[in-house]
Amino acid sequence: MSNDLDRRLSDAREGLHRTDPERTAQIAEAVLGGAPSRPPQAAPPPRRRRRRWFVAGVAIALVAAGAALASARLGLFTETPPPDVARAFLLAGGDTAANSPRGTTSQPRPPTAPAARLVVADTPWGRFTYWRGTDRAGRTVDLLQDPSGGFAGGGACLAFDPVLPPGASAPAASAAAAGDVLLCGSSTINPGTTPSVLRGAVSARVASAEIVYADGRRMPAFVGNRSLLVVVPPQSCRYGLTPPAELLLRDAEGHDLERVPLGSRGFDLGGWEWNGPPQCGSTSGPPAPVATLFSVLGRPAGPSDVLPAGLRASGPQHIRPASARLLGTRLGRSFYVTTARPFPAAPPTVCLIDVTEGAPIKGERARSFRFGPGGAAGSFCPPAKTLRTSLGVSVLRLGSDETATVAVLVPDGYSKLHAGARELAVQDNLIVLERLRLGTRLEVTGPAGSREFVFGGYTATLPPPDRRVIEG
Amino acid sequence: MAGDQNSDGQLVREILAGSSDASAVLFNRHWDVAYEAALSVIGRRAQAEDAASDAFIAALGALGSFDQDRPFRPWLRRIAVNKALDLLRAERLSAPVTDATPELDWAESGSPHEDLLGHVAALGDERRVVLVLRYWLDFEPMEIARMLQIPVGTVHSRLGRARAELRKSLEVPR
Repeated sequence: MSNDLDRRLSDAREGLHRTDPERTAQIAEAVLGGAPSRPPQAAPPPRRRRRRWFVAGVAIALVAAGAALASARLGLFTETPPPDVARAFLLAGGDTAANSPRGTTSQPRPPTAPAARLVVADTPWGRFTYWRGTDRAGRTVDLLQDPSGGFAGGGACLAFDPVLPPGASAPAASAAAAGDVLLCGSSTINPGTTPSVLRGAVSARVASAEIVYADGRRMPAFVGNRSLLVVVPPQSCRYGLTPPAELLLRDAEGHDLERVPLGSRGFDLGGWEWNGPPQCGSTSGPPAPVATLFSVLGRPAGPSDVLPAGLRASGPQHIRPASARLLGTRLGRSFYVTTARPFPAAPPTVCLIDVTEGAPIKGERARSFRFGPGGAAGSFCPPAKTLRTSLGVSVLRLGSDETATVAVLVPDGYSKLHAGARELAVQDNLIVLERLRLGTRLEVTGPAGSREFVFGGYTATLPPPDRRVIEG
Repeated sequence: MAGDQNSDGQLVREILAGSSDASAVLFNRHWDVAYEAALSVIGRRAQAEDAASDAFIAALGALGSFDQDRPFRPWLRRIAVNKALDLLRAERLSAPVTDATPELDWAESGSPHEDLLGHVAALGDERRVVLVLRYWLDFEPMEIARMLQIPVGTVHSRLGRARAELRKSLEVPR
């Protein structure tokens, strides 16, 4: 009979769901659309040789960076960007641009507005191009184009204004004051040791920067007008690199301005480090180099201080090149949603959800990033299609008095939200509540009916037909 | 599509030379194995699609290090399993918003195996994953132990408990 069970078990595999051809085609479009447009790298050279290549590559990149940056400051190298770059800049504005009621008042920019190609960094892992242009709201945006052609970086940091409260017009980064350093793409950095905004880092004085590794070795970072660019090789352990320990900012005279601890986990490699060190030797390690962009802001503080203290970054962290295309080129409607254990017992996990309507699988993809002491990047989030029909609560900032500033993602068909005694109108499926106390009963109402839950400090995702109370 | 008749090895060489058509052929030829592996481990279609997509992206990006003398399919399947396991671990790290176990939707509707799949789904993650890795994906206990980073003895004990639980729920005599 044991054999009978074995046979039945083996046969049961035949009962698994199969993807239908139409769905397979959608997924193929998403996957292959994000696949490297240039040939993948050939088999890597031996370790020593590769390390030398890397160091040489970075050195070359830095020289190029310096020259290009100097030129860019003079307005040279400004050009009509290729269509994919133009599109990325357009989308970098998120829905804060002219089509948003909360958007800025700037006029939309044409898709062919000039952009500056600040840096072309040829590394052993391909070419990284660092672009500076304006999004469709007219704001200056930096974008990093990785070797696959995908985008990540500073532009994305500005793309998530939906978490701002109504009336706010500045990007999420607006909470940073002039001279602050906003770390974008920094899930690699242990947030337990690094503030999200480094107050008073006096970016104008930053002339050079280095990543200092745990064993004392140093690697230079590209310093732009407002940004630092660090390109991290895949599977760093193969290059003999220990985890990065700190980011060292220096002024023109070489004096230390700031030493930013980077935590013990070092750079996350495409989400692979969350369960341990980079998986050297694994066939399933990160497929491509990972670039991390640190944006240094020199802009004045915005009208609303909603930069979440619990959130380490406001961008999609660093994104594997292929994923960057999947996410980074479609930032039209994105939300942060937190799905995590109740705080403050555990750090929130922040999900980057792209809920672009009508998109195929791309619109259902999501990524999450875990923050807080001991936090690590993960790659799980509920599918956006679930969230479109669910209540979601994003914890934007944790208070010290059992309150939090939260963004509530409301499904279609609900127009009002009651939070305790407060009654608020819902716009664009999103509303931000400040100083929401744990245990507050939230109820959304509208033509679609009524649904409620108790704020417990974590996301409440309820299946549409249910009306349940989630206790915190 | 051009290249449909080419071997996997030929397709890999064409992809390395820059052919996107070859990528599409390889995808269409092997998507099923990636999806099936991911679905077996995760049990939920949307997440399985994510893991399998990630696996393909990873595989395409790592073709340079792929030994073209070896079959592509098992290599891809292994990557898909790893991606799926990562997803499961990540889910575990970000604790569920309710105590309810996510419902598995892995069964083809109307399949004669639907009932048994329901019983396997009810085993819970730990036992179910070991069971499917062994019975559906044909991994040896030693490999499973490595993948899950648990002692091989634990693999055997989870397998034994899973089988015992199934026997009981299916009312199969020993």
